[in-house]
Amino acid sequence: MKKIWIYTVLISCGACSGLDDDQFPDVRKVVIDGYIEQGQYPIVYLSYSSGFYEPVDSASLQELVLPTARVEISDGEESEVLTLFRNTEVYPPFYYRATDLRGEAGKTYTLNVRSMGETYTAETTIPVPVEIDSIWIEVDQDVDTLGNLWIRFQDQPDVRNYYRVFTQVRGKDEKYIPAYQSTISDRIVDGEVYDHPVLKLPESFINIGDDLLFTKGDTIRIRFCAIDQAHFDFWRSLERELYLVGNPFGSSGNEVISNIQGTRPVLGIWGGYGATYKSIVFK
Amino acid sequence: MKFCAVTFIIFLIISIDSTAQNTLTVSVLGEQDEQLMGATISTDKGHFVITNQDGKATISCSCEELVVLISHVGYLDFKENISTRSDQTIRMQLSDQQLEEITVQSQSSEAELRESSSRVVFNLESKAHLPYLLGEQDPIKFIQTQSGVSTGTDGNNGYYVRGGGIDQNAIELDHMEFYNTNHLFGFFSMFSADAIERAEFLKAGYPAQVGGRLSSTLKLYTIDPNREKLEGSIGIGILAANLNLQVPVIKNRSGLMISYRRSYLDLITQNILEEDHKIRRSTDYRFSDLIVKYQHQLAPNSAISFTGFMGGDQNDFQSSRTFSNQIEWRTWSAGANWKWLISPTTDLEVYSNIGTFDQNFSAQISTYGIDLSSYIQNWKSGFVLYNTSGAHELAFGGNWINRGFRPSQVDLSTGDNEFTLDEASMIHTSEWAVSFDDSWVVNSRLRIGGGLRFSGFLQWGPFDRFDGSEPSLDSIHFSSGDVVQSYFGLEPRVHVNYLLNSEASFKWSYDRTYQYIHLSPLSSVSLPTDLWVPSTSRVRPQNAHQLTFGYYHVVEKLPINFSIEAFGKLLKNQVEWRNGAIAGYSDSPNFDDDFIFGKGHSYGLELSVRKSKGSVTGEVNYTLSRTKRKFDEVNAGKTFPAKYDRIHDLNVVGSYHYHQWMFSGLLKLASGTALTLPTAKYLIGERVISEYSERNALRMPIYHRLDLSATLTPSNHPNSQWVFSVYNVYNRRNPYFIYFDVQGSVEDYSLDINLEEVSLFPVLPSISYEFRF
Repeated sequence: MKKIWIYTVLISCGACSGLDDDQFPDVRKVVIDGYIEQGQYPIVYLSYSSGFYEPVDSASLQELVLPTARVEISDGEESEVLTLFRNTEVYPPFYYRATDLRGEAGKTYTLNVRSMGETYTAETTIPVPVEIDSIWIEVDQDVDTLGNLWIRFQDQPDVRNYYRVFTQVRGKDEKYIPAYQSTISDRIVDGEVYDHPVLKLPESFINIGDDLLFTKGDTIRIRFCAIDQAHFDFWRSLERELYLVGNPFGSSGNEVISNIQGTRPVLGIWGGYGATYKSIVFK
Repeated sequence: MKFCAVTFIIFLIISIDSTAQNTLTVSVLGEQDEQLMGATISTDKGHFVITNQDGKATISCSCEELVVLISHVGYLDFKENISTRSDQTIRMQLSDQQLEEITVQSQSSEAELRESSSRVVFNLESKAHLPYLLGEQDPIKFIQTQSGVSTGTDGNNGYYVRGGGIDQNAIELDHMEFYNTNHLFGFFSMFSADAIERAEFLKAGYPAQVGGRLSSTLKLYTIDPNREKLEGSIGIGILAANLNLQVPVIKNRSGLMISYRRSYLDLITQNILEEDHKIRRSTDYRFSDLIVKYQHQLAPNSAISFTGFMGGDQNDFQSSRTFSNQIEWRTWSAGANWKWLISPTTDLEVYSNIGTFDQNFSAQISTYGIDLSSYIQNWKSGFVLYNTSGAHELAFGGNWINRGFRPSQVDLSTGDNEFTLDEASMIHTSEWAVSFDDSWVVNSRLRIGGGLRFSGFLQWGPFDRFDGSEPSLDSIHFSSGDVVQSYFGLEPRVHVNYLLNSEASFKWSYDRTYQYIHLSPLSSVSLPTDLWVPSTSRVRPQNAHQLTFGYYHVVEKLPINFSIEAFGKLLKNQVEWRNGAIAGYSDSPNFDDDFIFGKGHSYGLELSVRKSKGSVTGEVNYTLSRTKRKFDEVNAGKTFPAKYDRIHDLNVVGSYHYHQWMFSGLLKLASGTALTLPTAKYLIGERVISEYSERNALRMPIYHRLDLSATLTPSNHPNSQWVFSVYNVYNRRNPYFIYFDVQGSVEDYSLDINLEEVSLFPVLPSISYEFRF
C-alpha cells in the first residue's frame, strides 16, 4: 500500500507552519532495542524517546542515551546482569552486553530492565535456525549489471513460522542491514519449499528505484533468521510505519507493536534470532 | 419504544378524524405536462397549500366554488374560479422572466415554511448557481455547501452529514444505489450536472419510505428527454469534454437522453509524449461517465423510463522501473421506473434495477506484486403507493435489495509465483423494508407527519464462519440458501410543523434509522478503495436516533428566508478497522475479524439565510457542531473527536445576474478536521520511528477558500456560453494531508525533522465553452 503519488499533476507541495507546536505534548519513554542470537552474547541498547519537534543534534542525542540502567537476561536457569560497553560508531553510543551467557536455539530468554525506579520486562524465544537450500541471482532483463537476489528454503509444516532477512554487501556495508520488507510469514507457503526474493534496502522509501537490486561484482552475505511471532509483529509493524512515512493513504493510527511490558509505558523490542548465513558473488 | 407509542397515538388520532366536506385534489402541471412540485395554492377561503412531489395538493371546503391563485417559480400566476365538486388539473404557463431570474430553489419560500422535514430541493435546469471546479459543475459540490454538511479535506467528494460517516449518506440516481460517486479520487462526482434535472437532499424528518442509511439521502433525478424536438449540448473544459443529446423517438410519446463525459488529458499525453517521459508516466489517468435514459409515455396517466449508468476511473502510475501501481474503479447500473397515476388521488411508482461496483488496486515493487480487489453486485426492487385522502397524504412502500459482496481478495506474487492470500468468496445478503407514512394537515397551522418503517437484513449461505483466530480451527459451514444471520429494525418517524403566522413556522422531528451495510475507511482520507462490508454475526447493523428542532422565518418583502435548527444524534455500532490493519492482509480467518465497534454522538446548531429571487441570489449557511466517537479498543475506551469533527463551518454562495453576465462565488471557512499525528520520536537501529498522539487529538489548520466564476451568454449567440472560473482565488494552501520529513542521519548526530503540509489545489483559473442546440 505504498505511496500513491499519482497526484503529481495536481499536487503542489508547500511547507508551512499551520500546526501549533503546543499541540505536541512531551512525554519521554524508555526505548529498548535488544536481541539475542544463538551462539552470541545478547545485546541491548537503551535510549529515550523525545518530543516530535525537539531538535536532533549531537547534544540532544547524547541526552537521550540511558547508560545507568540495570539490565538482566535470564534463560530460566541462568541469568546475567549485562555490562555497559561503549561504541561511538553507532547510536546509541552505549550498549549492554553479556560476557558469559550466550544464546541457544530453542530456549526462551527473559529481559529485565530497571531504571529510575521503573521495571520493564519482555520474553523472547530463539527458534531453531532454518538452513537456506540455495541462493542465486537473476540478472535484470533490461540492465545486465543489476540483479534480483533469491533464496530457497524448506518451511516447516503445520506450525506458524516467521523469518527475517538481512544482507551485507562486502566492502560496502559495515554490518548486516535488514532487507526491504525484511519479514516473512509462512501463512501462504506453510510446509512448502519457498523461493523468496530478497530486496536491498533502498536509500529512500519515498523514491524507490533501482537501488532495490544488487550490482554486478557484489559479494552478498545473507543472514537468514527464524523469529517468533511477537518479534515478527514488531518488525512488520515498524517497517510498515517506516515505509509509509505518514502517508495518508496508509492505515490510520499505525502503531508499532512492542513486546515489552513496563511499570510505565515503554517502546521497543526484545527479540531472539535463530540465524543461518550464506553468501554469493554476483559475477 | 416510547416513540413507537407516540406514533401509534398519532395514527389513532388520524383514524378518528373525519369531516363531511367537499375534498378536491388539484394537480398542477407544467408546460410539458410535468408535475410541478412546490407550487403554492391559495384560495379566497383562506386555504394555503403546497403541491407535493407529484404536483398535487388537496383542499377541503364546505363551499361549491373557490377562487384559486396558483404560483410557481418560473411560471405565470394562475387565478380562476374552480368547482370543488371534482378534482382539477391546472396547466401552468411558462413565464418570460425565467431566463432573467435565477432561482436556486425550485420550492417557494412558503412551501419550505410548511415542509415538515429538513430538506433541500433544487433543480438543475438553471444550474448557474452550482460552483465550478476546473470548469466542471457538480451537484454534489453544492450539497457540500449546505448547513450540517461538511467535507473532509479538499477534493473529498464524500460528505459528512451531522456527524455521520460517508457511508451513512445514500446517493441514488433514479432509485439506483451507488457505492462510490467519485471521479479523480473525489475531485468531481460521477454525475454530470447536464443530465440531472432535480436533486432532493434530506437530512432529517424522513418519510418512512426513505431509509437504509443513517445520516442523509440524496435523490438525483435525470432529465426527462425532450419528446418533441432534438436538443443537445457540447461542452469542453480544461479536464473533460461532454456531450448531451435529447432525441425524440416517437414524437410526443417517447424520448432518449444520452449524456457522456470523458477526461482527455491522457489522450494527449499518451499519444504525443515518448513512452518513458515523466509526464506521460504520471498522467496516465482517465475517467468517464455515461447516462442514458429512455422514457416512454404508455398512456396519458402512465409512463415508463429506463436509465443506464456507466462510470469509472483508471490510473496507471509508474515512478521508476521498479515501482508502479494501478488503481481502477467502475460502476455500472441499469434500471426501470414505472409511474402510474391510478386516479387523481392515487398514484404508484414501481422500480427495479441492477448494478455492480468493482475496484482494483495493484502495486509492483521489483519482483513483488500485490493485488487487492473487491466487488459488489446488487439487485433492487420496490414500490411506493401515494394516496391523498382528505387531509391525509398517505404513502405505502416496500423494497427488497439483494447484494453480493466480495470485500477483499488479496493476491500476492513474487517473481513467477502467485499466491491468493484470501480466497474471498461472495457474501450474499438481502435487505428489505416495508413502510407506511401519513402526512396529516390537521388545520391551517398544524401539520403532523408520522410513519413506521420495518426493515430487515439476511445473510445467506454458502458461508464459513471460523471460530477463534487460527485458520486450522473448526468452522461452521452454511450451505447455499441457509440463513447465516438475520436482523430486524423498527424505525418510527415523527415530524411536526406548526405555522406561527404566514411568515414563520416551527418544525420538530424524530427519526430512528437502521443501516445494514458499512464502509470501513482504511486510511485517513476517503478513497474509492475503502471497503464496503455487509452486516454479519460480528458486524451488527448501525443505528441512530436523531432529534431536530427548528425555527423558520420568511421575510416576503426582501425576500429573504432564514432558519435556525438544532439537532442531536446518537449513533450505535459504528465500524472501524483495528489499529494498523490492512484489509485482507492479516492472519485472521474471517474477513470481519479486524473490525472494531463503537458508539458516536453529534450535536449542533445550524443557521441559514437564503435569498432565492432577484438578480442577486445566494445563501449563507453556518453550522456549529461537535462529533465524538467512543471505541473500547481506541484511546483506552476514552471518547475522541471523529476525524471530520468540525466545530465551525461557514459556507457563503452568491450569484449576481447582470445583462448577459452571471457572476457567482463561493466562500468556505471551517475549523480544521481532527487528525492523528506523531507526537514523539524514537530511534531503533538508527532509524527514526514516530509515536502517535491519541486518536484524532490534533487539529488541521483552519480551512478557507474563495471561488469565483463569470458566465457569459453572448447576446448575439444565446445558445453558447463561456464560463471563466477561478478556484481558490487567493491561493490558500489548505493542507490535504500532513506528513513529516526526516533529513540527515543519526550517525552524523544531526537530524532535521519537519512537518510538511501537502495541499491539493493552488489558484486554478479555467475556462470552458458550451454550445446548446
